[in-house]
Amino acid sequence: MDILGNLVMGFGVALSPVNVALCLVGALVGTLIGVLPGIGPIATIAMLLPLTFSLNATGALIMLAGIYYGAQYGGSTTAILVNMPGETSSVVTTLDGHQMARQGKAGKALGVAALGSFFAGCVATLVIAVLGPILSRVAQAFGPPEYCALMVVGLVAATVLASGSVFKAITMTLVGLLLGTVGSDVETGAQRLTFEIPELADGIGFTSLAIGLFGIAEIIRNLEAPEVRGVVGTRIAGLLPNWADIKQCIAPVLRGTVLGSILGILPGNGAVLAPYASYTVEKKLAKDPSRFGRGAIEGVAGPESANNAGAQTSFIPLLTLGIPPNAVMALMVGAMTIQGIIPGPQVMTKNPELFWGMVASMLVGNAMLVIINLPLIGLWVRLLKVPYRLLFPAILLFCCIGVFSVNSSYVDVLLVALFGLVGYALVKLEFEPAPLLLAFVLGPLFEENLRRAFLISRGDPMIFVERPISLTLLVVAAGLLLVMLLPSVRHTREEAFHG
Amino acid sequence: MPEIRSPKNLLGGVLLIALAALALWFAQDLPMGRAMRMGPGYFPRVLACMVGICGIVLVAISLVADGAKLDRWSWARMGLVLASIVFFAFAIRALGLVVTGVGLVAIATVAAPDWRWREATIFGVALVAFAAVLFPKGLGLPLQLWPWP
Repeated sequence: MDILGNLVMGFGVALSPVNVALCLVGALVGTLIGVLPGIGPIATIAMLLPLTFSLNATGALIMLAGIYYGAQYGGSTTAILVNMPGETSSVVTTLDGHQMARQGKAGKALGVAALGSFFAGCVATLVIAVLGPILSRVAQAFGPPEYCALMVVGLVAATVLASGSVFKAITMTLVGLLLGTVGSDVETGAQRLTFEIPELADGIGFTSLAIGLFGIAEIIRNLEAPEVRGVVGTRIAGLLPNWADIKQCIAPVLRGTVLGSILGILPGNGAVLAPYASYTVEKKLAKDPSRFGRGAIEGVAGPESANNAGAQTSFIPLLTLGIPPNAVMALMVGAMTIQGIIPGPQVMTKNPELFWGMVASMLVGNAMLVIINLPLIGLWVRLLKVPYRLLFPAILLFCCIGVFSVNSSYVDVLLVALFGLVGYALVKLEFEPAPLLLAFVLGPLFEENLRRAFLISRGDPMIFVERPISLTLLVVAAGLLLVMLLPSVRHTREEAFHG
Repeated sequence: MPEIRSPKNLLGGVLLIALAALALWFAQDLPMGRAMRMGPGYFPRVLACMVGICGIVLVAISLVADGAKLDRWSWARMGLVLASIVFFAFAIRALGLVVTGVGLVAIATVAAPDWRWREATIFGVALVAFAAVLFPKGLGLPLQLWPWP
């Protein structure tokens, strides 16, 4: 496979002036929302989805991808300077990053985080370029039973990796699947669970669900917990690490990159675990573990590399199998469908300029983030001082405009309010909404393939066991569930989420 | 009467059962089909049953295992935020973006514990002006600006 030739072609696409501009916009918006706590990439991408109508598919995805990995960069800035994770993926960075900032080494922490992220992002992008074509060729041999089994693995992994009770996560997955059945039946056109509302004939709007569950619920929650933002007031100087720092950081960055790349590919949002895993590994390997939590530079370098690598490689299942591994990727499916592209292994052969253009744009975007962001840190800090009472009406207004303009349908906006209520209730009752969203996206795909599989086998469920690939995948899914029941694993899992 | 040991799980379970019942009620006319050729009702009904079973299990758990008490809900803040969205939904077609936007910001702002008159007014006007320029003009979204066409 001629990866180099394809990459050159991809750069041809990614470096067109329009796409460079879109990549820059995406990266900047991503950093902005990454810096601001209380608004995550899910809500932002859902909000901006309607704006991509006027773009072509490649441009739209380049921009949305930029938002996602830009948010990983931005999240660490807030974590280091304010001791508050801008994104969930930067929770770990607060531990040592903020300590470094208190010791007057904020610049160094920010620099190491950015450079580590840059390195990890580039490596992980190359992983996509190498693994992508191979996986998509494997996936072309997949029939309906294999796809079903694969989605079962994805859904099980999503429940296992969700924080909180596993049983509740399973319940959320089932509810998501149920919500996914609303709308016209694919085969017969029968109206299912539409409550005789004509606007529901096409199903529940994905943007409404995502914005309601994540964006609106988050706003209500932020309003009830008054915030305290203590930005470190010192001047930020000395962003570039010196030779001794680099020597200290090289190994953690490499290990973080490997860990993040592997965990990112896993279905069910493995990327979220990557920084935790990296931090644990670094602490175990360190000569003096007591330095951790008191401003150890490795504790910033490793997890920051890991979260960026994971963010990058989580594109692999989406681009090669057409199966989103997490909620953000589920939104990418939405963006692709709006553009008339059906995600799956055929994307690489039918739209090579889309795949390779996106891969090349990730390299471009990561480079831009380092070059642009380090000088802009001062500006981001000033933005952090914008109080939430001014921020959230703006978020609300943009969400409403965004959702309304998808179909010019007021019902879609009402659904945002409904799912905002649902999302808030889920938080209050300690249910994790992420598996619900993923199951909602996978549901219709799953049902379609399940029905086809049963049609092929004439109603015989043995078809899932007789095919080797589908059997293997189902065994993996069952194994994951069983492992979760082991007390020791359960304990570590709880530690990972609360450590 | 058994003792309720985890109110959070009890409420969660009851809501799940209600959701399952609602789905089953509305799916009752959809043909089931057989496993070989599933009808449109097969998948929703199987799922609704599973959700219902999960709800029952959760209710059972709430009676045997100790768990968290219910959190305090910020009804007023939640109501205001949701009301601002509902207002937008019903007003946008008739009143246009400018009036609707001002209304949404006005309703939502009050939900903040520390809002101030002057600041909110200045910021709200600037925000709506920005949105009115950005969305219909800059990005070409089909949005009406004023109550009159």
